[in-house]
Amino acid sequence: MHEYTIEPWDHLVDSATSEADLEQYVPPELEKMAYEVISHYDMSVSEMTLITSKPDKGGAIWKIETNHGPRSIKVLHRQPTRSLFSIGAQVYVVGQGARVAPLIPTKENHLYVQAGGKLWIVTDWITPLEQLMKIDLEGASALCYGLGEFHRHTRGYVPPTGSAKSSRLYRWNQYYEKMIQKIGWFRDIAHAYPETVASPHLLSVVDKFEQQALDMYEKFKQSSYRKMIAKGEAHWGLAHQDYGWSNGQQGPGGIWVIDLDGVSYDLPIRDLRKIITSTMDDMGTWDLEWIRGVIDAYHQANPLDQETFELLWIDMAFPNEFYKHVKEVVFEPVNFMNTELDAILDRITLTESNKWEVLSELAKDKEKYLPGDYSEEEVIYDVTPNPVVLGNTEFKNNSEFKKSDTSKAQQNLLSTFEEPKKSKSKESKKSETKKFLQEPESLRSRIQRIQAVNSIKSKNSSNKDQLVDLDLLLKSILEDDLPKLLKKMNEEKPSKTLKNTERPSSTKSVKKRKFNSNSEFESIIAKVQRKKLEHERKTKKKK
Amino acid sequence: MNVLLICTEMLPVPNIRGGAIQTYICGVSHLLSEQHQITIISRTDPDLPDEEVVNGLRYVRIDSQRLLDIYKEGIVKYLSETEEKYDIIHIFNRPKLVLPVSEVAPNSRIILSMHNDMFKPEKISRAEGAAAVEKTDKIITISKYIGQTIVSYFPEAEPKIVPIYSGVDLSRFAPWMKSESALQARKAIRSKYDLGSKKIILFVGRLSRNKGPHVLVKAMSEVKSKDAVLVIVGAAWFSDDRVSDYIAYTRALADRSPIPVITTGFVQADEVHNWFCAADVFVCTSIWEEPLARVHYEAMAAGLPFITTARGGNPEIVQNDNGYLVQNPEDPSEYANYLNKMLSNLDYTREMGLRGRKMVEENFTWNHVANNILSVWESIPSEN
Repeated sequence: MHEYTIEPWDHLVDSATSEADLEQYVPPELEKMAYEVISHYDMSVSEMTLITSKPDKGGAIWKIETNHGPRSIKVLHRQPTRSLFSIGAQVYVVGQGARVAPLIPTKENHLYVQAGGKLWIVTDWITPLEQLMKIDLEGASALCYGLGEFHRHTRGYVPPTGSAKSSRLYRWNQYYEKMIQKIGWFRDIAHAYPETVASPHLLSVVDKFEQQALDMYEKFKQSSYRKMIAKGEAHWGLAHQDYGWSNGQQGPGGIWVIDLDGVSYDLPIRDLRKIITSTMDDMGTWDLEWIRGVIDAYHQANPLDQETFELLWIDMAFPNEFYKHVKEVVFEPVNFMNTELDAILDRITLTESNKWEVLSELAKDKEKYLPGDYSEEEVIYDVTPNPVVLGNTEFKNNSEFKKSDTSKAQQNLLSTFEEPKKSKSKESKKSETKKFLQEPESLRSRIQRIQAVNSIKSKNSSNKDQLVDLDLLLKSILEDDLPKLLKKMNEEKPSKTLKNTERPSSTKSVKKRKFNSNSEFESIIAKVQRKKLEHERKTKKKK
Repeated sequence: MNVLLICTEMLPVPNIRGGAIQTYICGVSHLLSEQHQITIISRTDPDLPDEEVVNGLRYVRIDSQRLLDIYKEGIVKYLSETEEKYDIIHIFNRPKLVLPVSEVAPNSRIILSMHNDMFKPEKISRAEGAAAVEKTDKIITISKYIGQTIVSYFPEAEPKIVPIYSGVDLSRFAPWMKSESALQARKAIRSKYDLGSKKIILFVGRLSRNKGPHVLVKAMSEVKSKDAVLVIVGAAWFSDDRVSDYIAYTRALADRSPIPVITTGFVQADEVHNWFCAADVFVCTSIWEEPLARVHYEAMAAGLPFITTARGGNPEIVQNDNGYLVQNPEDPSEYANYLNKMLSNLDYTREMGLRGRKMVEENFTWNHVANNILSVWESIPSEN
């Protein structure tokens, strides 16, 4: 691959080209590089169309017509290590059965190509995909149901070795503090530029919004946030961070989620909050029925507990839209305050008029949700030893990948037409557990196959089984024996791990699950096990 | 003794790319090597060989791509393959390296140096943090404050904590009233930036909300001395990269400041001292709980009186009337009051600065730091 390094090209904007024009443009070197990347794949391309680009960051996506049907090729604009986190997530959620396009492997069985200092990926172009009707409650509910499904499938994700973890889970405090701080900046700027048109207007509303933010921050501090995040990143899974009508679209089997580049660990309801408050902003008024509808839809796919609902409410109550639209004032204060800001403030004030009435009504819904179990205080952030392992590390065994490829296709087929998971009763769990005990051999081979979807086995890390003995782990933590345990887990062969795992985890997972009607309360590990068992059962039935 | 120092995965040693920990290691390593055999592990760098011996110090550089996991693997590989038997492995600021290192080098004693709040729950799990404390013989902390934070998460760490303050190179930082070369540097840079005999208020550091220089910019509206100027070293209003909203905000305020505010852009580590020589008052505006910023030592060594904030370890350095402590770092008036006091009586202000210089000479040279580290190393019983 030649030496072109991908850099942003937004400096090419001039009087003749608008920013919109530029999003339909990539430098010729980049396009040439796209063809070089394509040559790494077992496909012949007859047509290539630029869909859109990110001139300010150096990213782009093309639609390509290939002998395997339409596909997309995308250069991810972020740092390679950061992109790897997202690529790992994409591989993981596909393995979990999410409606997300699987990554196509290269001829050398790599799941991405590094070129020009960035990572490139190829996926099938899912057809047909249709954008749902915006604002219309039915469309919005479908969109949020799809979001809930996506979130559920991200739980348990552990990023591949060598990737830069992205997490906002522990940063809600900082996020809110920053918002409060920046609202203070708005006041400072308005004071410093009193001669501008919108300065008096901004000064007349800034106190109110600042007070709202401060009040909500107090409420946030009293919330269960601390206890919730103690469950750790893998427990909560990922937020998409840019979910909406273009990144969640109606396709075969339901909502397909696209553009996973920006995923990060978070309380995933952050995504839901953004959809709600930005839609209220679009509507120009707060609509209780609409809000209730989309929260319900989400809840059907990824059940909320009381604590999570309360946090969603708090997040909605912050002056998000005021903050979002005014924050630009710091860059060109004179210009912005003399031209746009006045109208923006008018619109925000109008939308604001029934916000609190709607929110106080919505607060009553809290009773609809079951309280969550946040009694375990121990934090297990990242001892889960089963990161997603991607290709492009060391490929010892190519045939293994091919095997995984078939099982991946199979799994997608299953998951695409799968009904949304209903909560399992204690009884069915027990029978699953029995099966687990009786048939360790077939399960092991099953797991290995499923694992191969997520991972190309290379080093010992990929041999680690997805099953982790939680009880043994906790015990060893209490006995201050963690290093030994970690070492043990690293050394153990899959079969051995299974053997050790089956007894305590299976009995415990049945006994412990007080809230078994709600998947929210399951430990990730139990959940991973359950999913595998379900999958195995289904495969059996098919046979 | 045979001692291995392990730097963080971020920047190489020597500190050709800057870095507080790298500067610290450079400051003490040659002194430590007078008594013991020293190897330093840091990350690879295109401008440095992966292995070299310079002035009796052995450098080993391991690829990290700025990721701890990758670095960790490399270190474990190195330790499992090396023939060396290290009596002490001294790890800097990465408690997460303790377990993997102790596993592969079970006969080495482990010392940890903590420069930041890396034991906090976001950074390390309760279980791993406790295990790391257990495996460590002593934990050196850059300030008492950092020691207290560790104890707040892991009370059992308390008997292992040894605060050792950082140091400064006295040959580079000197008061212009006492040193001819410092005086020349002062004149040169003032003439280069056309600052004449203005009273220079100096801020050195990143332009970020945590570092708080915007409050200082706001304070300029209340500064009475008309011949004052605020110099922000280390950052620029305009850069090739995207300007952060914080920089934009601070710039918007500076544009309307009655006292001129200038930024210098990035200044090489080996040239920063010139600005300390040129200034009259140094201000550290930390809003966050700063472990204890290096710049205090540098300001004092240059004979500069300072204003700092009651955050983190910063108050520990305010002693013997060498500076002032701002209680609320978000209140511009507090800064303005002290600045007005200092700028209206420069003679007294300079005496404050010389008291700070004396304090550095007596406590905060690299010799002091190295001796303190040696006494920690020598206090722990050898396994062999």
